[in-house]
This record gives sequence, C-alpha cells and structure tokens, in this order.
Amino acid sequence: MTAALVLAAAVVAPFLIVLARRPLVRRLAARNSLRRPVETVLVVVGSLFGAAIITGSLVVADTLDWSIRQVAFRHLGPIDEVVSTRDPAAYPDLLAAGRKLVANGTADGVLGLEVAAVTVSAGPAQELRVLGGAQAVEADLEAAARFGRDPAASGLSGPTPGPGEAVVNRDVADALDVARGDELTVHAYGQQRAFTVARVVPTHGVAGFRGTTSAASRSRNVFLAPGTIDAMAVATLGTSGPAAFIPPERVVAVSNPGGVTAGAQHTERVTRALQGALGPASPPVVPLKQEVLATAAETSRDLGDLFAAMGAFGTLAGVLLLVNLFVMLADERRSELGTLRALGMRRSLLVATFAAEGWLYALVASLAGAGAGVALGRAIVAFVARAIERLGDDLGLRLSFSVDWSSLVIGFALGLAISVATVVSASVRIARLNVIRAIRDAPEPPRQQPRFAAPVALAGVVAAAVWSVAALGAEEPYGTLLGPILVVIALAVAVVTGRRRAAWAVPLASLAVIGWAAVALRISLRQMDADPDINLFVLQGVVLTGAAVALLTQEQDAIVRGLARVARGRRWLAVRLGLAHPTARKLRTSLTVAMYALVVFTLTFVTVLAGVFDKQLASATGELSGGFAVVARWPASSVGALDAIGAAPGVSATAPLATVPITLPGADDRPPASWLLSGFDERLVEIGAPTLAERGGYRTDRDAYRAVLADPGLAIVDPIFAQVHLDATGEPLTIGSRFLVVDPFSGARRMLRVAALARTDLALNGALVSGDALAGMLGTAPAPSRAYVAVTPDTDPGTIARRLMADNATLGIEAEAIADIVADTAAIEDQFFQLARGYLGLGLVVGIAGLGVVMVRAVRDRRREIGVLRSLGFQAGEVGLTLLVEAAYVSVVGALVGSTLAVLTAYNVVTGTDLLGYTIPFSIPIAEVVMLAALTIGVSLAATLLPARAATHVRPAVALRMTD
Amino acid sequence: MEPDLLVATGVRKVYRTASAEVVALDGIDFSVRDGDFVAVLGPSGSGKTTLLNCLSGLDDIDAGQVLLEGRDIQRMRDAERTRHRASSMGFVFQAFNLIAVFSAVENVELPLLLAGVTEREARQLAMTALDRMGLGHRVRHRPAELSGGEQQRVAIARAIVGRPRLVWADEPTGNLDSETAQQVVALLRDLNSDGMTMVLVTHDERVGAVAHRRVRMLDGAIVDDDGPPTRASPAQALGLDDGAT
Repeated sequence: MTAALVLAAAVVAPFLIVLARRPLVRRLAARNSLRRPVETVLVVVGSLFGAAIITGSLVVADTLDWSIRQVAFRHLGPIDEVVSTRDPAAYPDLLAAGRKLVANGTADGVLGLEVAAVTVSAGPAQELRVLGGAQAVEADLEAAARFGRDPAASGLSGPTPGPGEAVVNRDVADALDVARGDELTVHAYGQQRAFTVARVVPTHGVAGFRGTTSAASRSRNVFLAPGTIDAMAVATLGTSGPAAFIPPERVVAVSNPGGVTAGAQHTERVTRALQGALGPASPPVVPLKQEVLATAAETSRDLGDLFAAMGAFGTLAGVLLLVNLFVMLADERRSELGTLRALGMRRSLLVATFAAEGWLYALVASLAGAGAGVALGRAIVAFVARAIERLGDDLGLRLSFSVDWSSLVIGFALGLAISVATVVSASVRIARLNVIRAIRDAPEPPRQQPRFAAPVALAGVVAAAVWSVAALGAEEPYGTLLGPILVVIALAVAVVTGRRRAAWAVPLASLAVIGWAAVALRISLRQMDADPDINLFVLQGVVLTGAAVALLTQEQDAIVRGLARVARGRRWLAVRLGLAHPTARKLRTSLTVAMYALVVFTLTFVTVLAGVFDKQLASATGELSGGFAVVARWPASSVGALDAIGAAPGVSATAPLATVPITLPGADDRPPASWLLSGFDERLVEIGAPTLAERGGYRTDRDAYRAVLADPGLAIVDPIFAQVHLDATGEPLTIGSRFLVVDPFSGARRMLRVAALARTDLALNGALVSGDALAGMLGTAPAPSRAYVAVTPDTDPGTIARRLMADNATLGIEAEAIADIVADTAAIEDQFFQLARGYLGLGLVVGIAGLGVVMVRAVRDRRREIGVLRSLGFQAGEVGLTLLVEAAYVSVVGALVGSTLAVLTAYNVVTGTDLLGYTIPFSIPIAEVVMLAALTIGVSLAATLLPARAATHVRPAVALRMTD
Repeated sequence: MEPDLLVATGVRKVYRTASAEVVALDGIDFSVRDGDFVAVLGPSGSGKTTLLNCLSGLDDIDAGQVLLEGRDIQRMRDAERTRHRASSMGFVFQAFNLIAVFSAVENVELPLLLAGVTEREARQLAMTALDRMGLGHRVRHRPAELSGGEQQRVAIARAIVGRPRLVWADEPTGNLDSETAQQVVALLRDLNSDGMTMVLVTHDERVGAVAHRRVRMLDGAIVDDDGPPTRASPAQALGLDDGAT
C-alpha cells in the first residue's frame, strides 16, 4: 500500500509541477485533449484496461482472503489449536496439559468437546426432513461461552442442554426447519434419540466448530447433554464395541492470547508448549486457525496471481494500443509539432507537452479503471461463486465480496505507472523529429545507429551467453528461456547495426527465438515441476508473439506482394489498396497485429487446454468407476449402513472403504496439512478398482492394487496428492517416493511408499492403503464409511443412488452415480475455463476497441486520399472496402499468428509436462479454435464497419479541401 | 466551331455554418468547348476551386444545372457520377494528392484500372505516360521519395493517362518553384495542343496566360470572360519570349 502510494505520487507529482509551472504545456495539453472528444473517450477507454485488470485481480484476491478468513470466525472463533483423541482414557491427560498452559499464561483458555458424526431428522414420518453430515457435540456451554474471553466470538450462550434437550446452530435449524420447542431426532450407532430444541445459536465460533480446516460453508452442530453420545454408542456396541468401530472424538481446544485472528501469531509458541506438555507419543497438536489463515493467504495469493497473469495479456494489449494511438496522434500533428519546434520550443518541452496530454488521459483512465476493476472483480466473484455452488455446502466456500482500499490504490498506481511509462517513452520517440521535415510533412529518413550500438550489442551477446550457461546449469527457468533468446537478439542487433547490413538477420533471429521459446518452455516447465509459475508462461507467450510479429513485419512486403498478385484487376483494386496501407505503416501495423496475436494466443491456448481436459474427462467415468457405478458415503457411526446398501434392490456388490483423517506433517515452511486415508480390501480389486495412471513395475492395475493389499507400507495416491504433499526432499511424490502420515487422534505415524498413481480422486478417498495397514496404524480396524457400489445390469446408477439415499435417510447415506460425479466435475472445469476465457476476452475487447480507434483515425488521416480516390472514380463502397480489407489483414494475420503459436505452446505444455500428474494425449479442438479465430476476425470487421461507413460518406470536394 | 463539352447554367453554391451562410457561387453560367484551354483566374476566396468542384461533380450544387456532353451530372446518382468521372475526367491538384502507399506507376495506372483496363495494358500505358513526363526512371518510387515537381508530373500523368475528355487542374503550380512551375505549365499546354480539353484554376496571371481563354471570378461570380481562344506559345504566354525574334 505504501509502495503504491509512493508510486502514484511519483507518477503524479512531476506532471502537476510541470503543468503548474508551464502555462504553455498546460494549455496545449488541455486543448489537444479536448480537440476531439469522441476520440479522447476512446483513448481513455482503451487505456483503462490495465488498471481495471490489475484492480480486478486484486479484488478477487481480497474476496477470497476475506471469505476464507471468515472460516476462522465462523467455524473456530476463539479456537486456535486442537488436540484430539478417540481414546477416552487419554482424554483427561490432554485436557490437563491444556489447562497447564492456561495456568502458566501461555494460553488464554482450554475447552473440552466430544464430537461424533451423526444424522439428524425432524418432522412427521411422512414428511421427514433428514440432515446428513451433522455433528453431535457435547461440551460445557457456559464454559464454552467464556472460552477465549470473548463471548461474541464463541457464538454460544446460555446453559448446557439437559437430558432430552438439544441446542442447535442456525445451519441445523434452517436445514430442518426447527425452532425452540420443536423435536428432532439424532441417529447414530444404530440408535435414534429424540430431543427438544432448547434454543438456536448462531453458526459462529465454537457453535460453528468443524474439526477440519476445510473452507466448507456449513457446519451442522447439535449440542447435547454430556454423556449422550457415549450412551448411544454403548447401547448398540457394548462397552468394548466391535473391531470395526469409530468412537466419538474427544477434542481439547486451546485459545491463544489475542483476538480471533491475532491469536494465530502465538501458534508456534503455544503448539510447542502443548506438544512438550503432552510428550512425543501423544496425538499431534493441530494448529487449525493458522492452517485456515495460511490457506486464505495462499489461495488468495495464488488466485490473484493467476488472474493477474491472465490479465497481463490484456494489459499488454492495452499498452500496445496506447503506443499505437500516440504514434498516430504524433503522425497527425507532425507539422504542428515541427512548427512548435521551429518557433523555439525545446525538445524537452515538446516531450512534456505530449506526455502531459497522455498523462491526462492516463490519469482519468486509471481512476476509471480502478472503478471498473471493482466491477470486474465483482463479476468474477459472482461467476466463481456459481461454480462453487456446484460443489455443495459441504465442500463449497461461501464467497463474501470484499474490497480492500489498498487494492484500489495499487490498481490505480500500477495502471497509471504503466500508462505513463508508455506515454513518456512514446513522447520521447515522437519528439526526435526533424523540424523541416515535420513542417513539410516529409518522411523521416532511417535513423543512423549510434556508433557504439554494435560493440554494446556484442557485449550483450557475451553477457547473455554467460547467463544462459549459468541458468541451464542451475536449472533456473527464466534464464533458460530468456538467456539464449537475448543472445540471439543481441547478435541480430550487432549484425544489423554493424557495417555489414543484412536483411536476413531479423527474420533469422525471429525464427531462432520462436524455435528456442518453444523448446525452452518444455525444459523450463520440467525445471519448475514442483512449483509451476504462470508468469513464465506469460513471458513465453510475449516472446513468441513478439518474434512472430517481428518476422512477419520484415516479410510483410513479400506477403502483401503475393496477395496483390492474386488480387488482380479492377474488382480487386480496393483490396490492393487496403493491403498497401499496412505495408506502408509497418510500426503501426506490427503494434496492432501484436495486440491481436497476444489476445488470440491466450484465448486459443485456454480453448485447446479446455478441449484436452474435456476429452480426458470424457474417459474418466470408465477409469474412475472400474467395475462400479455408484459411490456411497455415510457417517462412521451409522452402524448397518453398509449392510443396508448391500441389501438394496439393484445393488449387485459393494466394496467398502474405511476413510479416516490424517495429518501430513509440514516440511520446510509448509504448515501441516489435513487429508484423508482410505483402507480397501480384496472386494475392490475383485470387482474392478479404478484405473491407474502409472503403476511402476507392476504388470497390471490389479497387480498394483494387490501389492498394496499385501504390503502395509505401500499406498496409491492421486496426482493432486502427489503434487501437494512433497517428499522429504521437497519434490512432488512419484512412484517409489516415501511420505509420512500421522493419525491426528493417536499420534501414530507411518511411513508409506507410493506404489502407483491413480488417474484421479474424484470420489475424494485420499490416499489408498490396505484395510489391514489402516487397522495396524490406528490400533483397531475402523468402521467403513464409504463404499463403491456395483449395480445389476440394466439398472440406472443415478436411480439407485437416489433410492439408496431416500430409503436410508436416517443412516445419513449420501450416494452419487460416478457418471454424475464426473459430469459435475466436468461442469465445474468447464465453468473455470469459461471464466478464464471471459477474463482473457477482455484483451479481445481491448484489441477490437483498438482496431476501431485505429480505423477511425485512419479515416481522419486519409480524408484527402479518400477525396482523391473518389475524384479518380473510386466508388464510395470501394473506399469503405479498403478499410475493411486493412482491418481484415490485421485481424487475420493476428489471429493466425496467435492461434498457431497457442497450439504450439499448448502442445508443449500438454506433452512436455504431467499436467494432471501424468502424461495425457494432446488433441486440437479444431472446430472451436477455428470458430474462435473466425469470431475474432468477424467482430473486428464489425468494429471497423462504422469507420468504413464514415469513409464512404466523405464528400470528395470537402475531403480535398480539408487539411485537418 | 467546336461543340460545347460542358455547359453550366445558373450554378449556385452556398456554404452553411451554424452561424452564417456564404454564397460561394452565385448563379454562374459557364461553358467549355471541346479542345478548349480555359484558365479560371481570381483572388483567393473568389470561388475558383468551388467552381471546379461543382462543375466536375465532386461537390453538389444548390441550384442550376451542369451538363457534360449533354448529361446533367448533378442529377446522376453518386455511383454513376463516379463512373462518369473515371471515364471522362482527369484531375491535377495543387498538393499533388498522390496515394502515399502506391508507387509512381501504381498511382498513374489507378484511373485506368478503375475504368476497367486490364492490368497489363494499364501498366504499359502508365509507363508510357510517365516516360512522356520524363519520369521513366522513377516509376517504382513512392511519392515521399519524389521531389515536388516530380510528384506533380506523376499527378499529371495520372490525370491524362486515360485520355479523358476534360482535365481539371486546380492551382497545379501552387506548390512548385518558378522553374518547375514553367515546366508544368508547358506540359499542360502541350497536352492541350494534343487535343485534350483543359480547365486550369489559378490565381497566377502568368500561369493563366497560357490558356486560350481566361475567365475571371470575384465573390462567386464571373466578372470577365475574354471569350474566343487566343493561341499563344507557352513561352510567349509565360513572358519568356516576346515574339520579337
């Protein structure tokens, strides 16, 4: 924020001083900016995208940060760390250790909670309302309200419910439509008990407690009298319980000194003290609050960076547009500028005059852009929120739109700085005019290269070569990409500026840069396997496009000559004239083509990636389902759920999984992470386990699964798990990698080795191990809580899934056809790509607006020429056609360059890296790519229609008479 | 006597701005015979260029009639008028007005191509016209690479290459030094000697002197028309040769 303010001041102050002290500069800048109001508006609109895109990206980050941070308030409140156990005997020691911390002033408070996953229902039997995925919580509510010394943060008030009473949070009350005095039923451990709602508390703090760091928006807590859950478990299972039993969790929650978020800064100290008090063999202390805040910071930063990087192409297109507009403005005012110089205006003052005018545009554009950025961010958030809704309450984050003032200031300052830098450099270039030539409007001769250019370029070759070698040796991706490119560019400059002028130098260098940029991307992406950087992709796109446009600019004469050779005869005269203009104004044309190519590049790249992923997902149903059609989940306390599913009509077989939470200890600066571990048995393999992506040395998928069943030290992980949880050396997991898992309830640790990589984990099983391995780690075989379900032939899996839920509502069974899971995932992915395309499409708006502005100015510039053409016998329609042909040339070349390079880049990305954790086949969605290019060209031509129409209405006599 | 190629009667042109009306042509009666060389003279603002624009069909008129070869060009639709212009007229402007992105030969062949002549023939005729203008060595150069005199000669070549019935020249020497101006005027005179009808608009009496007939304008009206043509040599007309030798 401070840096942004300093930057804004640095960009604003010099201009204010110049404008205040130089009345002539002020007058010229102000009058020129008001000379053509419509064009001024177009320039401002074209320039505001930089600030808008930057602000929009920051606002998205603000919203995500704020929304995820709300998880801390909503689901934790004063709770900073927790220690959990399933062993009732160990619980008093955990509680005592926590109390010791409070006694010695290390912590603010300690609270004991007993938690079990249950199903809750309400209403008459014929209209029963059932809520799965709820938690029964037992706690001393009076103590809980005082916990953390902030009753408002805990969300609780009033007495602890007595026997037969329940206190529910707002999420439960809303889902079941119950209020104080109503009855509800809790289903757990095969029991069902009725309770009267004593009161409803807000879903906030301890009242909204969830035992995970998930960003899910709901927590459905039913607070019961102490001893109720145990009584229900014992009633079914007896005091010892069967082997397959997950007892309630006993949680010791610790509150650090300080408020809800401020308390997290004491986490390291408190965690160390608590872990020390508990001893090494105890359950791990889980810093829930810190995890939530770290997730908020990381997610918002990552998504903000993603949108900023995607928006960078639009920003760059805006910069190119601005340069283009200023070059055109300068062309138009050349004789006027020459006259000013002739009258005695110093070059520096000329720069100041031109730059001041641009600064006025940039100032207004950046202010408007920051405002537009908020609207843009709002639109993105709304779109993302819609996509998240598909994940459902249990997985989805509730987004609350939020804007930090610093985002507006940063967006404004950066947008202004980019525009002003562009304007000033364009002004410096423009001011280097020859006075006489400018007055007579004669063309400038080619600039003499300074004598030192060639030696400096040669020094550049050496420096870039050293950098390249060092970067390749150190596997540094930016140096790997840019080093050799700079060598080539410096060499080309040396050749061009040296005594031996060579026309081949630039085309050859451009081809070399394109070739290396394509190859280097593969190398760089491999180098960055652990932490891919989207900015590298942006850089590569810019380099590729720049080189291709440089190549085309050099060869433009030949291209247009070739086209003109085809377009012969009277009928093609307008076409030839239309093609002659881009050739005659190479700088202007290359800027516009580059602007288009950049935009089409990004859009096509995303389209190709979306197509590849779509194709991949299309085959996912078969790969994910193996021999099954439905995935079912239920609370581990729902005794009998698996039997009920197995006995359901249409179900031919089940393969149960026992799924438990695990903690993955953090490495380096990474905090510990919570994940899932699922134990499977022979039934999964027998009927047909999900397809593997990589199975190492195993001959078949079945062999790999059986190896895991046979060896408790082996695991199968999915690509996301492998990317997120690094091995001991900080590298992503591959086959053979080892990783440590910790049972958060007992502290039991186990080192596992990756035996194979699953294709995907759409069923959210986490890492797969054998059921025996899980039992060995936990000391007891946990109850199954999910199952793959096979259905009889000719049965619709969706119907079976719905029937399983309806018939077993009180068991809390949630079931979904695997095909539906895949379809939902595909829809979410599709929405993401739509969002990306929409966002990148902003660049297209810049491009199209830019082309429109360029053409409006072209009509103005060429009025006299239009008059001559009309006097010579050019029909009005033909005059308009020349403009359309010119626009078509720019947009077609831009679209071709952008599409081709995008397909090349996408090919490199898809085949050169393991995008999904494994190599996927490359394919080009030809119809979509062609349609995108055609749409771009079509819309561009539509944007040119207005100026083209204006050109047809130019009256020859008036045009010939006009000088301005 | 040659028949009238162009006959204008009662031509009136008014320029209107938000605050005022300026009568640029006030009921002009004017005719040009085939093979004529007419100079329209007058001070700046007298309506010379407006007359050229209106009579050539480049601009609309508010009243009156302009007949070219018996056809009222002001009644023609824009497309027809444009075609007519392409086939019957040539233009030479003060500021040359060459197409900057075309080479000299491309500029010259432009009216031929517009008139439907084949590419090959158009190129051949354009090369011949440029040769005649003494620019055979500059055919591939773009306007920016030519001197003012060369540009004007390219413009003249462009005006005459299609053998139009009538060539309009609007201050063709206005942007040239006196020596180059003399060459251009001599060129126009030669072209007229070859039978091409010329209407030359100029404020320069010496340039106007080369014409067979001089029409003087003031405040949008013709104040003097010296009627029948006087055949004088270009040198005499320019005062370079008093005829004593």
